[in-house]
Amino acid sequence: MDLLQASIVLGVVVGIVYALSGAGLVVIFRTSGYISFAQGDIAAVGLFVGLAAYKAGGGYGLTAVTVILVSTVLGGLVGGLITIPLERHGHLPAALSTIGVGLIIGGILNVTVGGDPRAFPEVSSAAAFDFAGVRLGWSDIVGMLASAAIFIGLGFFFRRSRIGIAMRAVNDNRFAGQILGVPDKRLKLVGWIVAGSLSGVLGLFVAPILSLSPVSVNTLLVFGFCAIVIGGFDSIFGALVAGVSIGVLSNLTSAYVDPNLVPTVLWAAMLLVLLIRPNGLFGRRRLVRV
Amino acid sequence: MTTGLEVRDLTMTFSGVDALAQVSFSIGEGVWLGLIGPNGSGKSTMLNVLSGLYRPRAGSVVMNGHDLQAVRARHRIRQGLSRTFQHPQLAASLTILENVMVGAAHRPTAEAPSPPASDSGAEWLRRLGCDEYAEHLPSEAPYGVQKLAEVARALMSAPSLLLLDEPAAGLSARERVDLVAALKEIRRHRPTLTLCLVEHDVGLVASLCSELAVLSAGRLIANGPTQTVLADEAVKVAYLGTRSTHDATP
Repeated sequence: MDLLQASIVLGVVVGIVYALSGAGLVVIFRTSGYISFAQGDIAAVGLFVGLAAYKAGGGYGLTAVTVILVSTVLGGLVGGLITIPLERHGHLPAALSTIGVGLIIGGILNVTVGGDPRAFPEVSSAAAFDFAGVRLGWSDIVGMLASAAIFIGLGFFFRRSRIGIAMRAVNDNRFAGQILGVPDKRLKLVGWIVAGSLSGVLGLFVAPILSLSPVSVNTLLVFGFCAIVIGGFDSIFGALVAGVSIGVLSNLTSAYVDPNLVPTVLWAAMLLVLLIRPNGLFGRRRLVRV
Repeated sequence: MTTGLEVRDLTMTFSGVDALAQVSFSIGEGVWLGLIGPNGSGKSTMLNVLSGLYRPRAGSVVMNGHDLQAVRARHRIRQGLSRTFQHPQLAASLTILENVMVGAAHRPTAEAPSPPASDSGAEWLRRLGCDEYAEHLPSEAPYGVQKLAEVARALMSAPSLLLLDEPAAGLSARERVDLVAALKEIRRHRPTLTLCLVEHDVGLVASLCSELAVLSAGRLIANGPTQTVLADEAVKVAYLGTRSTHDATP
């Protein structure tokens, strides 16, 4: 029973981080219509700059702000200077460019800071309390609260704010957006900036657990990708539900079957969802006028 | 400064064929003009030129004293020009209300604070009689509601000139009655709004518009007060495709 409880509780904790990684991908998909494969590398740059600030004597607060700020600016630069201009050639070249950007950033990081993993500070290493027989640390609590706030904020932003609604409209009906004078490039840039900052926040949760290397955030983004395929590419809520489900499923598989089978089970679940609901559990089926 | 819309010698050519040939007419501020004509007469082409989707070969479009020639389609809404389409161009994943709200998204928030409650998207939907579908997706709403939602969206930009492209096309008789009621409601709340209505239903146009312009094979064959134009023999011949019974009588 303890093992089951621990698997579920810790699965939820890590699942929320998966969901957060998926949310960043959803934000760009909602405005631009494709997935960015550079978000982990963008976060890595922020994390390494943040780590430098920490080693220079900055506290955790300054480190966190630095990570988020650098990731936000870099996300905006990548989107504004490379991918959004490339969209005039289609979504595929723009999406492929994010792979190129990610590889370039990763290559530069490998040359400049090296590929060895290194410790990254966490908000607190102290234990908070026991929950269902599982000891949760303050890092877990802060991570979950921050994630909850981000999901509520994103939900409000996309559902209630004029900018958020316009961002959804831009990708949904490009022609209407143009005739209505919606500043689509500016809104897409906002999407990249928001996704960049989300990558930074994600990195702050991931780096203390996996330790920091140029690929550590990318390792986790694989689960985020899996979450949005299962949840639906255009659904923030879907990313949340699918992320938590993936976290629990991973832990149960690891505890009761075989840890080596976790990726197999996840990809099988993803394929199953794709076969049954190609737009994901919470994604909307696109209507095409014929 | 001339207010309203002035079209001067507009010529639009597709593959050497004149879709519009030296068409000139004007619409005074607050006037509702019906643009009618048989299929292929150039009505939709005219709306596409006015809204900037097509670039004319010759001629000019002047709105409230400003020549729109150099103004791209996406920027004409800032000049106060808004339009709808024959087939509603709504975002499929946005609710009806969210689609309407996008009509006010062309200006940054700092320039355009949220509209007053009296001109909010919800209020326009209520006035046009389709507020019960506000939270539905377009695919869940009747076609008539989709068309009215597009009108409401166009009104959210607070236009001085509204172009409606066949708003009654595809509607049932009941939906046409609702459409006329909705358009009259718009006139009541926006008396200074200038409107250009492209429509096949001449009876509907005559019930709403004080002026008519008639196109035939890309040429303007009549323009003036509605009743005068409808009594014009050239209009009867061109629009109905036959001579009137009066002429046919020996």
